[in-house]
Amino acid sequence: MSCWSDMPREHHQHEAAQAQASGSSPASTRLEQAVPCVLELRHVTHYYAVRKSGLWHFSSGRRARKLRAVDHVSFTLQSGTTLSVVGESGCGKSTLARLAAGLLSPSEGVIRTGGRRLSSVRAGEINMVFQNPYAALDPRWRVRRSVSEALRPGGFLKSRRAVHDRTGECLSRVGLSPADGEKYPHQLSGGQRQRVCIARALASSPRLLICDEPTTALDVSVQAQILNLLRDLQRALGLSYLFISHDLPVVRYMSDDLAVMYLGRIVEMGPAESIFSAPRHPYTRLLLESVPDFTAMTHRRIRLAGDPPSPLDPPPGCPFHPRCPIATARCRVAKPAYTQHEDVLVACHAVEEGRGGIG
Amino acid sequence: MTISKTDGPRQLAWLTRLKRSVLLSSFGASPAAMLSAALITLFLLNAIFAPFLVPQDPSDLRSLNLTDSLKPPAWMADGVWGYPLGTDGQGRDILSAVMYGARTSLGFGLAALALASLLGIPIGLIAGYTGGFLDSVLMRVADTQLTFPPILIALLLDGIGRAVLSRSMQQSLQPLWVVLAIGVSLWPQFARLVRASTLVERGKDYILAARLVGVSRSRILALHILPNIGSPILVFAAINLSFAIVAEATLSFLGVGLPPTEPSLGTLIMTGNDFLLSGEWWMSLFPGLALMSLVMAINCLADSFQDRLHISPG
Repeated sequence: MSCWSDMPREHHQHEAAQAQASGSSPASTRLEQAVPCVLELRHVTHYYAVRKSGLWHFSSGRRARKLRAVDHVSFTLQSGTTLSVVGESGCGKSTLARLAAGLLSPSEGVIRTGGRRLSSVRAGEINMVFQNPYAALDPRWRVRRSVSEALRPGGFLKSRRAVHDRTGECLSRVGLSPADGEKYPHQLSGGQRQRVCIARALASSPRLLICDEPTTALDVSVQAQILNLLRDLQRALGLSYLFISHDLPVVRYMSDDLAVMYLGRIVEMGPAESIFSAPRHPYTRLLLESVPDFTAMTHRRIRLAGDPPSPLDPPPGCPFHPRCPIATARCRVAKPAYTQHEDVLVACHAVEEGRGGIG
Repeated sequence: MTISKTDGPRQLAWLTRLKRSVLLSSFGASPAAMLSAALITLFLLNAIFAPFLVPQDPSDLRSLNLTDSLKPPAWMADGVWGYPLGTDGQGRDILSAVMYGARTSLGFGLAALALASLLGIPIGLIAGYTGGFLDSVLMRVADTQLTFPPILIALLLDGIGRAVLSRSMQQSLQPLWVVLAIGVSLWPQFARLVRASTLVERGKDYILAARLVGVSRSRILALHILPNIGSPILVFAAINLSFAIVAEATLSFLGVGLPPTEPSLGTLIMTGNDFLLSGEWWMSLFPGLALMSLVMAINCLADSFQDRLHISPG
């Protein structure tokens, strides 16, 4: 996990490391050039301005309140792998997905793909599969037209015949027949629609696919089909996935790496299996505990009580401390830095102090 | 698979879509809507074929016979079947005048509506999709515009026209002022409706998907958003057609609308108004009835569309 190794601990350390990398340490630079990460986020922060909009409000800057949806998030996604981001709703996962897709630009920090800035990337090089396939297709367009939409503006397929063939190929790849392209979205089932959305995402020949809860809106029986399709496509096409979900079994099935988000911050990150087998951060542990497990009904659970605090008014110190069963005075004051435990990074004072157990 | 093979089902699907379309299905819904549709069809046919149908060309002075002036409708004591709805002070056949007048009213209503949508729809699309400062500015302009009723704008244009232009130019430009006054006073309504619908549509994921692959803003607006907000706009346009027709009639009645040389229903009512108190009621009653039935038919049909689509006016 070379990409984890230069994970930021603290701001100044990170900057020092960057200076070192560009100056005196050619080895690490060479390593980065050899294996360019498909997606690299460095201290990405995104604010939403919460204020009254309108002609008479635009100048009154002091009224603006900032909602920090994503807070200093850094990670790297290796080519051909899946990084999952999990967390409760409202923790900033979807904002993160839109930042990574280039639909939003970060307030602070840098997003690179293959060593380049996100703004210089070819349109469609990063594509997205959305949560709700009902809303993700134009209801008035034939499915074929939606799938081939990406093929025209880029202009790398000149003839109509080539576009037609490529569209059919994309539909076949996701298990639909090219004849299905003549249908309208309302003539398809939810699973078929999501397949069309995946076909559309494939049409632009992406390197990275951002899947924003792609199975949440589907029946359980269809979920597995879509997940298997995504895995098969990854193997066949060498795709990389940024997988956003709150469904932990799904995430465990899909992920190589895992990042757990809480209130806009990543609290634990590392290889998915390491985290699932030995969660360290108290939030991760409570999250895993809260997954229904019918084989252990008698087991006494520790429940994750309460709601996450408002991101408009985040608590000082560790953002998790109001709900954390092992929070101490230090947690209420100081933001925890990332510490490395085997191959996992954790931002928690308790883990750092070696008192990880939850009472 | 060849292209020609797909042509068959494509056409069929188009037909099925038309048959199942919400707007058409509302015809069968109520007898009132059916009657309205029939009336509107009648008015449209009249608008197209009036020159071939009228018993007398009211603008052709040679065909007028002054001895036939002020004839009452045919069923009255002095009535003649040659003038079924009577004649005016110059012996003009009222039925012919109403047929031409209805044509003019419908035409000017549609022209004003076209101007309003040509201004309002693009402004609404841009305001709704862009948002932010531009949205605020455009919508404040629209709000300001809303405070000027069409009559005020028409009087303003008329006054300026009389002051600046020669009498003959002002006369020939009068129809343009009418379209301008009504169209300009209507566009904010269109802009507001389109903006609201665009706001709903622009956040949908299929718009994001189009943005992701680099589809330009104008293509998104024209190919994705406009077709998807089309139905409410159509219904809204239908409702406002009757408003435009009434507004034109009002302006003509007040004398700042169409000149008597190009009479609309409003102009006919105005000229007939002078004779009303002397007992020649038919000169303004029949244009009035025509105007009323046209406007009511449009309103009734638009209402049934609106019920079907579950939308509320601006």
